[in-house]
Amino acid sequence: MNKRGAYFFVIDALIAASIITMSLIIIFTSHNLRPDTNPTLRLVEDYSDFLITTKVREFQGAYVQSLIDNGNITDRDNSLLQQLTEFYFYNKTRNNTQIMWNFTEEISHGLVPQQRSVMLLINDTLIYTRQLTLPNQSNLMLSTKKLSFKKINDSYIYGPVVVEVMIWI
Amino acid sequence: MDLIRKLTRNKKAVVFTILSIVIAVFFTVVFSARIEKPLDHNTVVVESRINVLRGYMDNFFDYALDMGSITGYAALNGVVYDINSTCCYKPNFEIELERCLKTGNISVSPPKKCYGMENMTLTYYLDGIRTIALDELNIISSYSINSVNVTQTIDAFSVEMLVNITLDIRDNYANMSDTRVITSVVPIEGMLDPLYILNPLNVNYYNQTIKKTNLKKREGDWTWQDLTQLYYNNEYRNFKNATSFINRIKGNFSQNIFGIESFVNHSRPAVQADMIDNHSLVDYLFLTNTTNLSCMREVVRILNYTIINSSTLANPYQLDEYHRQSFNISSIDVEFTCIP
Repeated sequence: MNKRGAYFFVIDALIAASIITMSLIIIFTSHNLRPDTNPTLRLVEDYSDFLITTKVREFQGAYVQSLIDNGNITDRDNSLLQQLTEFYFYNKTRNNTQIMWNFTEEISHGLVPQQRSVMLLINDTLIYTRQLTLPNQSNLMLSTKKLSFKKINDSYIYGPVVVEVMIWI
Repeated sequence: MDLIRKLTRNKKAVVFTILSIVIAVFFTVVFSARIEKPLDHNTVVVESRINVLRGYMDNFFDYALDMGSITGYAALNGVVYDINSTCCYKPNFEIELERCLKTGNISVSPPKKCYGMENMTLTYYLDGIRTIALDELNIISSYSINSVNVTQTIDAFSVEMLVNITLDIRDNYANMSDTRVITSVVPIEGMLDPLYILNPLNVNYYNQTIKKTNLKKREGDWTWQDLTQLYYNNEYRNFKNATSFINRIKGNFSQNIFGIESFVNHSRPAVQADMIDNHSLVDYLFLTNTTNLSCMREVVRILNYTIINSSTLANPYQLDEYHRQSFNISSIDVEFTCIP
């Protein structure tokens, strides 16, 4: 009887331990079930803020510098977003597609982690994209829209245009 | 007795089992609370939305600032054009300017269009950005232009337009409202000079657009070569004793620190015909028929035709002594217009 009692207590303790273990496993694994959107959301916001607040003269990049040197960028006090808007405006008369692509690629480099896909559109026109997965296969996609305009000369302002930044994983 | 002991022992086992389950449930509940969404789980999303709203608000005012310069120029041009058509100065031109800027009409009754303001009003452009914000950003906003004031505190060749605007944004997450006074700088170059259009003599000798000289000189540094350039290129310079652009619109010919002056083309037959010995051909003196200058002491004619050529004209160019000295023209190149 004593021997059976000992078995009983041992099994009972094991059951209790397994219940506790199972509970803890459920608790700690449940935290990873839902992807956290905050970092991506912050990233989208920070990236668009960076485009709005950073002036061309404040940005150190070889390609941007080459655009200044060859006269494609004339006003270094433009924000990066204004510069893109200006390129987009002149894209009607001269082909700036490659310039816009390379420009956006350089200003995005290091800012948007390589593990994330990014796309920038102006008035629904694709300016730049880096895709690790297709947008329709993404687990999480966040986007933000901003308005932008550019004073071309004393009598003309181009815009406002809608600039959309999309980041997904 | 054995049975009682057995039951008691089994009961203890059940109690321990139940106790372990209770503890497990307790911990599960306690820690599972972290899985539940905290009360502020939407904060980042709301924050993000508010950033978008704030960004739109800044965009709106920046756009109004830039557009203020462009539409302000058009509106000012419309007011000057109206001087041309009505032959009346505009002592209260700010009211008409505000109307032009807001509605595109220079007067209410009878309604009269402001020249060149079709689809050029500030309202037209601000409506545009508001519509884009609604369509693309889903932001409902309304604005009102509360007042428009014009002043000149920086430069003789531009006026500042102070536009008081209120913007209200209504959104599910936040309602925002802000009133700002934006100062748009409106250049005056390229506009018709109201003084040439209309003057106290009521004679339109010819029209002249305002063209700022590229000469950058301080008082005392001007030379006769500069006068030659100003005269032949119909250029204007800033001169502290001259009449400002705003005063030219108002018909007020008093001196102003932001005064501008040009030199009347005396080769025009009408000018030649009206010239008298007391006239100085500085625009605000000649076109306002200022004749209180003494021809014996204060008005000279330029005899050195290298400065201004008058070889084929009846009357050589005339300047007041003050201007002769300001251009450092030698006294041997001039003579007083009348000799006692």
